[in-house]
Amino acid sequence: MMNRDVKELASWASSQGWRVDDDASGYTRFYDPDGTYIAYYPATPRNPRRRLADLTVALKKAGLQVPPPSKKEQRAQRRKESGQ
Amino acid sequence: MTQNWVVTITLDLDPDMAEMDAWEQQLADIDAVVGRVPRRGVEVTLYAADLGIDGALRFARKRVAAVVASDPIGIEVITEDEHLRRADSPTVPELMSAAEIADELGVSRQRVHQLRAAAAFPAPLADLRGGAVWDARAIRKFASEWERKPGRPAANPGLIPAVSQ
Repeated sequence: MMNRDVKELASWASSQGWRVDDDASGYTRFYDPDGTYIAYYPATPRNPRRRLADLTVALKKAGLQVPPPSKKEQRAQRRKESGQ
Repeated sequence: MTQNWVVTITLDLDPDMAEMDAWEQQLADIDAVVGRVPRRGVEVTLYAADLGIDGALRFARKRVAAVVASDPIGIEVITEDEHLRRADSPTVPELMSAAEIADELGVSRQRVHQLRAAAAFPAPLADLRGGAVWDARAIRKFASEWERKPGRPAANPGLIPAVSQ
C-alpha cells in the first residue's frame, strides 16, 4: 500500500501521464510518460522529509512539471501560517 | 549547528531498476537516492554532515566510487536547506489568461488584446488555439510600470479640417 506521504505527488504525476505503481516490497515506483523508470519512494523511509524532497527533485529533473499553488491554496497556506 | 550537505553525482550510465536499487541499498546509511534523468544518465543524491563543502564532495565521491565504477560527469554540492527549497519550488510559473490580465489591469479583454501591440507588453509564454497565456510576474511588472492614458486617444491633427476665418 502506498505511503501516504507520497500520495499527493503520486496523484499529481499520474494526472500528468506518469505511471505510478506499488510493487511487492511496498515501493511506490514512478515511470515517466515514455515508460522510463525514474525513481521510487519506500514504504517506510528512514527520513520521510528528505526522501520526499529527493524524489520530488528527481521527478522534476526527469521532466515532471509542478505548478505553483493555486490562489485558493495560497490563501489557505497564509491562513495556516497566521494561525487562523 | 550541524550543516548538512546534499551531494548529487551525475553518471553517464543507463542501469536497470534492479541495479539502481542495489546501489541505493549499498548507500542506505547516507540516505542515498538513485534517480534516472532521461537522455542524461543517473544521479546519485546523498547526504553528508559536518564535513564542509569540500569534505562533503570528497566523501561523496569516495562512497559512490566504491559502489559504481564510473567517473562522474557532474557533481553538485548544496546545503540541505537549498535542496528542500528546490524540492518545494514550482517548475511552472503562475500563468494568466487574457481575462485574468483584464482583471489585474482593470480593463476589458478587448483592451488587453489592443495592449498586446504595445512594445512594453510581455510576450505570451504560449499562444494556443484557446487563447494565449502569460507569466503572471511579467504582467504584474508591466502593470506596475504602465502609464495609463484614460479616455479616447487624441485625434490625429492631420485629419482635422482647418477652419477658415
